[in-house]
Amino acid sequence: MEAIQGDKLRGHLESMVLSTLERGEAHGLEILHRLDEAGCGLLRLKEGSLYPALYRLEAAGAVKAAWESEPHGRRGARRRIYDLTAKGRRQLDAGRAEWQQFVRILGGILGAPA
Amino acid sequence: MNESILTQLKIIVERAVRPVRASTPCKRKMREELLAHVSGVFEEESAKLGDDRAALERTAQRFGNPAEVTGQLQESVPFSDGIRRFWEGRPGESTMRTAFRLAWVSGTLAVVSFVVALFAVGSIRALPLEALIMCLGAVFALPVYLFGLAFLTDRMEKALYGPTGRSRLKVALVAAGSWVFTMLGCAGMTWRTWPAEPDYLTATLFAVWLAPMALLFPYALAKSSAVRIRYHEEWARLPIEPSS
Repeated sequence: MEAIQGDKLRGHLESMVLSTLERGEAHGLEILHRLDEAGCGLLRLKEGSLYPALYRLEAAGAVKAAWESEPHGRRGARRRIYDLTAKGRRQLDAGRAEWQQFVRILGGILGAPA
Repeated sequence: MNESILTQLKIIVERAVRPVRASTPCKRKMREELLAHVSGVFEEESAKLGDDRAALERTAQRFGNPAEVTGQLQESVPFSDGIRRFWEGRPGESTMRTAFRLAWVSGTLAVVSFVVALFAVGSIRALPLEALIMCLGAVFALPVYLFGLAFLTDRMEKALYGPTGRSRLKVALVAAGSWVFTMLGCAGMTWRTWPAEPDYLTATLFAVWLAPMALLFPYALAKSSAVRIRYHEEWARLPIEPSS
């Protein structure tokens, strides 16, 4: 199967990130691992793009972040641990509903209902 | 992970972060988090490939096009950060420019606040003369004080971190200068309220109370400014242009 990357992922990244955080708090690399695992290795996300999405979600109050206390051998560079907020859960629900509507409508147009 | 690998990882991060227009704390957050990320990716790739050079290439590839990441990071910078960036000034900005910038902004804010307060009171005649003079004094004193504080901070920074090392005499002189400057400012603002008979005890207590603050302001600002400059220089040294 062909990998999903670039434009096809744009617009869905924030909802995908929120859904990975439903499983519990995580740092950026862990979020990417969860996405990779859920996408069966077929998601090709440019990893640098994850952090602007996380900053946007944080500014919107959908996630909260805290610096880890120890850099764990990463030469002083600490990770930030992200967690879903109540607002983030509502945003995720809205994102899921929007996605279902999108698939239903496009499925009908393409003659390939979900 | 050795020093050379760490520098290469920092370069990957810096290519994306340096062009972003954001305050130092905002860029510090980006740099630290992205560095932790690429360090983690490098460790993964190094364990998988068993070759540091190949692992570095793969880390840069996974990170994505720096220009694209820069654009996305820029979009994630909140509007409020612009205000912080303005107060912070540009790296390498002259003291004179800093002083004028602070005086201009604080002066504008003070005048606007004064006009709003006047509207709230209803009329300039509603204010007692003493209160009006105190308010006008504060409106003009704030920009003047910040203008002077910019130079005092610069002098304090030179006294603390000058090429010849820390000079206690210079620190003491700047602190004394700051104290005199602050005393003159306070005296200028309150001269209308002075009693006919001089109250030396109150004046002395006030001067003693003011002394630690007059030292603390330029000292704390000089310290934080020096930390910011050192941090900026550390990252600015990294060569981010792709080698031909």
